[in-house]
Amino acid sequence: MMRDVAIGFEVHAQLATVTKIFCACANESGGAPNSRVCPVCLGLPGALPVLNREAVELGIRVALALESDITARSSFARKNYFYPDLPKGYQITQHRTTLATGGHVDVDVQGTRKLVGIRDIHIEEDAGKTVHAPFSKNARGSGSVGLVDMNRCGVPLVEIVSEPDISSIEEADAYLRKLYQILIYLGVTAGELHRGNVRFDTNVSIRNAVDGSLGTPCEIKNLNSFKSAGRALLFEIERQSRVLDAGGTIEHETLLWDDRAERALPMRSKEEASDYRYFPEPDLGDLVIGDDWIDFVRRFMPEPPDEHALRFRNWYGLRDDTARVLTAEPTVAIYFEDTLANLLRVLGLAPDSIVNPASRLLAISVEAREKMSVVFSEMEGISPERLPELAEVTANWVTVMVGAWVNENGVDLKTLALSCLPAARLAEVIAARVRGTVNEPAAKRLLVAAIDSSEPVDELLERLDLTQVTDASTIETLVTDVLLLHPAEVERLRAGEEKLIRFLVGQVMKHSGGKADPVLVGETLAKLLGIE
Amino acid sequence: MAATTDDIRHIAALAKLSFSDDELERLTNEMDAILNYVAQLSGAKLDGVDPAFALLRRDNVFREDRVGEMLKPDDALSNAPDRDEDFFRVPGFLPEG
Ligand SMILES: [Zn+2]
Repeated sequence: MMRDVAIGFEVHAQLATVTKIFCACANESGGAPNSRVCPVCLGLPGALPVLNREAVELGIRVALALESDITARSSFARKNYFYPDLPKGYQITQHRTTLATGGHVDVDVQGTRKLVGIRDIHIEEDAGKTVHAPFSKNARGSGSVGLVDMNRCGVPLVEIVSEPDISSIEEADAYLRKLYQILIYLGVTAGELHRGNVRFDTNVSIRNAVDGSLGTPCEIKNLNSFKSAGRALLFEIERQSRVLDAGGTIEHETLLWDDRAERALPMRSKEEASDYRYFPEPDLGDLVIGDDWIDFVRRFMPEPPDEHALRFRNWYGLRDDTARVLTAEPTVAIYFEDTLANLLRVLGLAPDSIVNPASRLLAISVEAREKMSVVFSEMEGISPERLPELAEVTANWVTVMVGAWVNENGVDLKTLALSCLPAARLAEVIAARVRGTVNEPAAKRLLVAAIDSSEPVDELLERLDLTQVTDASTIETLVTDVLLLHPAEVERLRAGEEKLIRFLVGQVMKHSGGKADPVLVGETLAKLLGIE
Repeated sequence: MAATTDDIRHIAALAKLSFSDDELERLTNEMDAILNYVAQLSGAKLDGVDPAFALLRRDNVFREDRVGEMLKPDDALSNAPDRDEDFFRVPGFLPEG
């Protein structure tokens, strides 16, 4: 039986600060166990936590992007539980008052827009990591033991709690992906799912078919990928449905997802569940956030993806689909915008200040946008049609041509942009094509050559002899030669076998060493054969 | 205010401790005495007074986001009852990430 479900998520993202949330230990991943610890994050007696300002500001970014209400005065609390990865015996989190409340994520579910409500956003500390060690003997020489690494203890987390507004697995997937995209865009997390930088807990309840009320929700923890979230939801919806179909009732349970076994198992016994005995953290003062601070964060924070796509349409006249492809990842969007700015400069359509490094450094903040719009107002000699055309061409180069190279060579775009193919260099390659100096196949060869060597692009053009042949008489000679070499094909073409025109264009291109302008070749062929 | 044996059993379970019946009874009495002592506070007149969670506590005390001194693994592990190379070694537990 099809049942209505209500799904909510708690998304935890490790914040990309330099240090931990309450101490000066480095916030990194990898490295030797217990090498990034201090008395504070080890919970040694007498050590006191001090809040990291940057963690708060990254949290404010998330709140602003999700249009949440930032709480003027929030506080910290202790969540008490005993586990080997939590040396203090409690986690410092926010409970009674949180960093922000309300807000929403604007989700696109296969073309239909849906707003998923946000209940609250809070900041807290991560716990350590536990490893099972079946072969390690404990001090008494028997029994199973665990190994604990405290490096992750105290890594800052932002937790985003949604309302149970999600009503299908597809919506859940779209919500998680959109929220993830926003977090990556804001630069608040490294976002590497396989490293556990972003983790999901979900709660699922089934709506009563008769009176429409929501059933008891069950929680599933430990979801580390979009795929495992989808599988866990399917598992849990089916499990609850079976219980209800058999006339049973759902008991509140917290389940732990096992990705390998593809099933969820109950985690804590019922009497212990959610008895965390929260109380106010006596070692930390309140967090007071005024409008000035919020404005400061807003001014220097990256543009969220939806606003970014909208600006690309408004500023550059890009089509909606192109703008969305470019803004799927900030790396691509920034690289595109940088390349386009450089292309406009190389073509002499914009002043040099369009690539002002100071404005680029701020990437896509309000600051940078204001500087860029000044430059735009100073751009002369560019027609309203020309900018969208160049923008689409640049988008195509970045996503298709460079994208293909990146996929084939297994290099990520950021690395490429920071090493062999900075935006200014890619812009020169594109300019060679836009000016008609090279034809399409030669442009692709030029791109690869520009990545492989450090020679200036104009020298590469010359050394590789890639310059397109556009001289009418040279092309006429080439075409005449080819027609003489293929009398049979010419005869069949004249008899109506039109597809042979492509064959002949190909032969002329080959004859020219790939350098002829293919459009001109087509035109010349048609003219000499007297066909339209 | 009265602490029951069930309360103590519950708190002990949360702390992963187990007690004999004699111990449970003694702890229940002691806890009851403590709670009764603290319960005197509920006699205070507090109309119009906001709850205070701490005295002399300052708001907005921050650290700048710069790496400071960290312990060497040997120092971090020096008080550990048991270790395995640079890990703390603890009795077996359920996996939880
Ligand atoms: Zn520390």
